Amino acid sequence: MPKKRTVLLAAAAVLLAGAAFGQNPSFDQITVPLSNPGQPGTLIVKNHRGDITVTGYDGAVVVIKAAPAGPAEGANRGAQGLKWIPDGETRLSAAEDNNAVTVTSNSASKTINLQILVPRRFDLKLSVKDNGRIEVDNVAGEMELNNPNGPVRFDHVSGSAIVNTVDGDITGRFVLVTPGLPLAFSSVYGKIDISFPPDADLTVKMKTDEGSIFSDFDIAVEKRKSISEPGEKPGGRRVSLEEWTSGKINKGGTDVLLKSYEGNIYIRKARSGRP
Amino acid sequence: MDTISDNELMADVQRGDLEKLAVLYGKYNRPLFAFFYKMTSDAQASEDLVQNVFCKILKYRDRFRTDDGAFVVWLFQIARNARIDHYHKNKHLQNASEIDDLAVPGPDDPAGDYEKAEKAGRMRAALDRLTDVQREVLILSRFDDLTYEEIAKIMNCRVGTIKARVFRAMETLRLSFRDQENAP
Amino acid sequence: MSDKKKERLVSELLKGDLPAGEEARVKETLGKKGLDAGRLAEYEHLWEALAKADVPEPSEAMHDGFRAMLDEAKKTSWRSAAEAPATRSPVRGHGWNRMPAWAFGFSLVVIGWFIGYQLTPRPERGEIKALNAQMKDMKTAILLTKLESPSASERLSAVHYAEDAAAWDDPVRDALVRALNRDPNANVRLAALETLARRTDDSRVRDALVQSIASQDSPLLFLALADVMLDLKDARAVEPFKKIIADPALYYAVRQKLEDTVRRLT
Repeated sequence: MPKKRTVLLAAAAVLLAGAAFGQNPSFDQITVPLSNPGQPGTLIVKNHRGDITVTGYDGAVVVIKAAPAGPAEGANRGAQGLKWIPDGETRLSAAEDNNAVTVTSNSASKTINLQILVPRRFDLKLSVKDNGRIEVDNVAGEMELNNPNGPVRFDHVSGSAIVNTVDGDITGRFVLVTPGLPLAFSSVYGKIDISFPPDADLTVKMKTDEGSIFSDFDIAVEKRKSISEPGEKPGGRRVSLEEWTSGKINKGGTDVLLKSYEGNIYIRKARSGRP
Repeated sequence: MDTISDNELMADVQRGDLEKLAVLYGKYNRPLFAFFYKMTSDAQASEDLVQNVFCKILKYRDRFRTDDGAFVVWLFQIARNARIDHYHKNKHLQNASEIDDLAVPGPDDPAGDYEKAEKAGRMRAALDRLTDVQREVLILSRFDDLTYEEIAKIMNCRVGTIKARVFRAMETLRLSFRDQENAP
Repeated sequence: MSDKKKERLVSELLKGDLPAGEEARVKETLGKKGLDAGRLAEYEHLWEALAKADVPEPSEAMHDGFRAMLDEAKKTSWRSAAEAPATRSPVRGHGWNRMPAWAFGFSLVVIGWFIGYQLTPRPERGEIKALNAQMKDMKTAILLTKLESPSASERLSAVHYAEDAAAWDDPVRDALVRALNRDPNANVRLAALETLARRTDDSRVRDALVQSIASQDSPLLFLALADVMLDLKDARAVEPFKKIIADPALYYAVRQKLEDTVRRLT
């Protein structure tokens, strides 16, 4: 029953006048039908260079648009008779295997921005190597998002997320957290700013070496005691993995790990409705 | 400017002749300060960063391989990381779009200087609208002493990427200036 | 002419990388491909302006500061970086020699007590083990399966699960070590590290942790491993950390932490 299908690049680039996809006047597009439409699926993009923007919608196919990342924003505004001429070679392609859609492109040699529409119930495995941001909207599923050199933002998602950056901020808003599936957000330089539904039952573990932690939840904080071995030097700062600040939000339950080295951590009560 | 003599000076420093570092300081303190200043618009921070860089050169002098690569590349790698570190520490304090004093002419500025200051202010404003990476690549490229190959090593990417970044940054700058000209 | 090539030529033109005779020809070619003389002139004008951007003179204080630092260095004749004071906290560099005798004695007593505590055989442990043996095998099996799941969430929850004392045994330990070294997700590796770090009474865990330093590439893992190695005071970490420090592309916060760690371990 599972069928492997490879859908190749559409014959010609689709030309669109004016500002459609980002500021680029032309992009490549692929539509990927699912083996089991209506069932949840997975979107996989690995080692990408460029933006990945994923939006959930009420449909049954995956639509992928790709365009080379052009000059900075505003470059085409009032173009004075001169259009940026893209190279056109995104080499976009997608393979589908039992509702798992893997997207590849030429992004190893040129930065490419992807805009992807997925059926709302979809898991995401997205990793950007550099030169891009990850943005996710209105998706219900398990998300694994990696972007060492850029930011990650998600909004109006349900499910779980495991997010990792080095030099980018992590910002996100859940409308629902799947009980039992752990969440983890870690960064070195970035700040971590996550909003949860006010009634979510979470057990949070937070640590930031150089930053501070803020929340408008009532978190019953338990500071874990470290094994009492003194350091070599009295008063010397002994960093121990026990120095996490953990606590319960509401009844506690789903594990949420938030770790940054230099950034602040913000845990917010999500305001309902779309911003 | 002469790669061989910079590396030789550094070799002397490694051997214990620390005074030779003062020669390197003399040569690079101004360009380093300019780099930091163009990136941050903060003279005090730029001075601290220059100090920071030379302190590190002294401290890690053994790490520099005098037979492998130009001193100036190592110098700017250290400078770049120092600036990034500074940026992250002060992100919440910085307001990069603030026009600094240059744009505001003093009361006793003769007409000619006003124009110059205004122009400098526009350049500053246009630069601030670039991303960090764009600004950095332009500033480094403007150093005649650094080749694109060297800049690529400093910024950890390929030469082709540097050239592309330069072009795009210049294009963004050009449009930024256009915007300012057309603004009421 | 590809777009990439145009960009490259413009950048080379501005930088003066093109041989003298070539410039005119390249300008003409670019003009034919849509980058006319007017546009190029704008770029050149901006390029010039960039160099002229007003930079104030640094103050005398900066030069004085450098001079003071250099003189200090010559006086204390630092022979190597190890002797230099820490960039952040000058006091710490000399701390080791200053610990008073009473604190040293005290710490020996506490360490002695702690070691004794760990080595004392505990009959209850044996009984509990026997009672739950069957349960444990099942739990272990589930755990090992979960660690192979394609879902990072599942793998993460498996690692958390392994923190449970009753679930710990050799296969679990080995699976966690594999996860630490090979899991594609940095968060899972981090969680594996933390779980393993609670089991450092097992020498094989300690060995595995030291060995895993060389297989990591995520700054987060470097930082966390530095903490663990410092906790363990395991000087075997020094060489692998030094190799990481030698990478000029290393993030500065990580470099600083690793250097500090290396210093305190040697």
